[in-house]
Amino acid sequence: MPNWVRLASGAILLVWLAQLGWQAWALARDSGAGISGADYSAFVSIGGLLLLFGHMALNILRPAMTENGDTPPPARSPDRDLVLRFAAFVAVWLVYVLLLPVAGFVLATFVAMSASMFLLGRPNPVAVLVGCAVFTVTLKVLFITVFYISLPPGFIDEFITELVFDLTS
Amino acid sequence: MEGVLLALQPLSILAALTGVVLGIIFGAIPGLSATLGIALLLPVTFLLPVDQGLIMLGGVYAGGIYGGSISAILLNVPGTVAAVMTSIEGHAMARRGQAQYALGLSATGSGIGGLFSALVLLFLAPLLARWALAFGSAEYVALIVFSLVVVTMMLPTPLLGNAAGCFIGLAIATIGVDPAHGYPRFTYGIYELVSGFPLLPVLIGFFALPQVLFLAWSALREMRYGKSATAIMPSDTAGPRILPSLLRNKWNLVRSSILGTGMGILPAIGPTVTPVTAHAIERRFSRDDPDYGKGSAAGLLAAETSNNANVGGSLIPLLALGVPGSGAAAVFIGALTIHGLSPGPLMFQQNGDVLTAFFVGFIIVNILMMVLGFYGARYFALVLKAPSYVIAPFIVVFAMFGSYASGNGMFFVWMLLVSAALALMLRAVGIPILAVLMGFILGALLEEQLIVMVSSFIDPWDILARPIAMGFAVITILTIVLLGRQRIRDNREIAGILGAGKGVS
Repeated sequence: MPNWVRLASGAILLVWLAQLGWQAWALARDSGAGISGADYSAFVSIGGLLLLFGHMALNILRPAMTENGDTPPPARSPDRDLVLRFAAFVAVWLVYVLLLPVAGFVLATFVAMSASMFLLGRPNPVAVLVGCAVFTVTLKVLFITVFYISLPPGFIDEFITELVFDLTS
Repeated sequence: MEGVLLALQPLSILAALTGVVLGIIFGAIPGLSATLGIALLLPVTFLLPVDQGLIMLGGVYAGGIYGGSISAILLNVPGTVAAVMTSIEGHAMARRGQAQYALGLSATGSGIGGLFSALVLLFLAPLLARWALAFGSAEYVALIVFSLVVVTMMLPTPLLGNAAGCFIGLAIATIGVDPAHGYPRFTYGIYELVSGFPLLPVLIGFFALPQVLFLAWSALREMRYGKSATAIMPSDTAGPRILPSLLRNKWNLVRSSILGTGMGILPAIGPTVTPVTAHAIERRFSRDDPDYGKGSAAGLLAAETSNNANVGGSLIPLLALGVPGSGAAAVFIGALTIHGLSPGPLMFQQNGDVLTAFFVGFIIVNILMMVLGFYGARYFALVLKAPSYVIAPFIVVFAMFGSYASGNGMFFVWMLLVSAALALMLRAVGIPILAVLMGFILGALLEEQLIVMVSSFIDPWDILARPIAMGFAVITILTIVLLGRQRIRDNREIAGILGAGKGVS
């Protein structure tokens, strides 16, 4: 893993803990005498901040330097096409969460699943499309009839819901 | 008695069977694990009565730990980390044409270890819970601090990182209502966070989504470079050789079962470390075995018996005290909270029948696992052919809708993504997820009991009048001193080996 990713992740965690600690400190100051939840949360967040900083200093910053004080040569970067496909796979599922309330469960899930399979492998297109469609519709019907949980609706979802009610009533 | 009857109902046995089958499948596929299986199937327990839900998850846990041995033996890729030693011994046996023999030994060894721990669970957990009824706030604080210290000292990752992980978990657990004053804190104006970070999306986000990314990358590498290993399919017959092997290794089975269960009881020492320790101990008793470490039945049995014995052991402190003995046991808490149960001594008084049903069901689970493993391992091995590009999207959908179903809203899906992002950042920094999870799960109880303890003690020396709390405090200090010395010694040895390596080069 590139060192900048580790440093950026550590920095985000440190900032979050510092913000939590600062907020807890302010609450503890206002809460007056006696131990409160704010004192406890100030202790754990500031404790976490110091420990994380110490861990990063010892295990991320120091090993990043070689014995001569030089930075080590960069690791061989992976295949560009694979990285792009991987990023596209992650993007598909992030867009999926945004699209779900708009497009509905069936359409969004069908598109995201089949797109993922085409991105990650070289599958038989007919098998993927039919398999994803059958799986998505089955899951939708299970959610209506067994789990009794309403999924984000789209026009296909509403059609399936009405069809299931017509068939069961 | 009612609990025993509940466990023997056909639907309970079906739940056990389903759990074991799904668990073996999850365990057998490299990249999936028992913990992931439990996390993904937690929402399914909504549909079941609590006893059947717990039995099913017990099946997933036990089956998942055993299932890891299938890919370890046939593919030389441990399906779960718990099967690392199995891949050394078992795959060497498979290469010698003894694949079915190795699978049979693994199934029976796992079954014996699992059954032993299930019996210990049945008898020891209620005793421990009865003892824990005498616990007040000081005892709970001392117990939780001891658990977090054990997690910090025992995990193989750097000490500061482990401690930071525990504190980060404790910090996450402070989000929500302040137990002393009752006002919401650290909610960033998000109304849903008033009741705290939701447990189920956190569990699924910590274990499922990072694993999906790993699977996706594996799928891409397979697409470009082809599969790195092909499975050796079993062609030998093993039946007549298993019983003599078990009889020859009877004391090995006893030692490994006791060790596995004992290590399971300690917090955080899950089935990962146990088989390595059991294998190392058994080496001393198998000096005459020329195959030890190169395809020995004794080594395979030690590893497999101990890792499944660890499963029942890790559930003992979880159910009796509310302190999970492993990552998977920590995820188990999700199943209890979904059904409004909080693990600990009071559960034995209020839900005794449910727990009896679970204990008896867990014995059934281990018998089913042994039978299914013995006769069906070669069929379970077929799942090794499932391509990663198919598995990854399915897990994402199950993870998202498991989270969605836990609270019936998109907020829980967003929380899943936040938890997954947090897990990835923690991994990047080298902080173990298990430490964070232990802190998160034990955090609310620690804060509550600490505030009660501080406000009820007039003098700090009042703690001297609490012998159980003092006992935990002494054990905690001893743990720090002894394990700290061990870690320093290990670090020196590693530095010595690296220094010698440099001298050679």
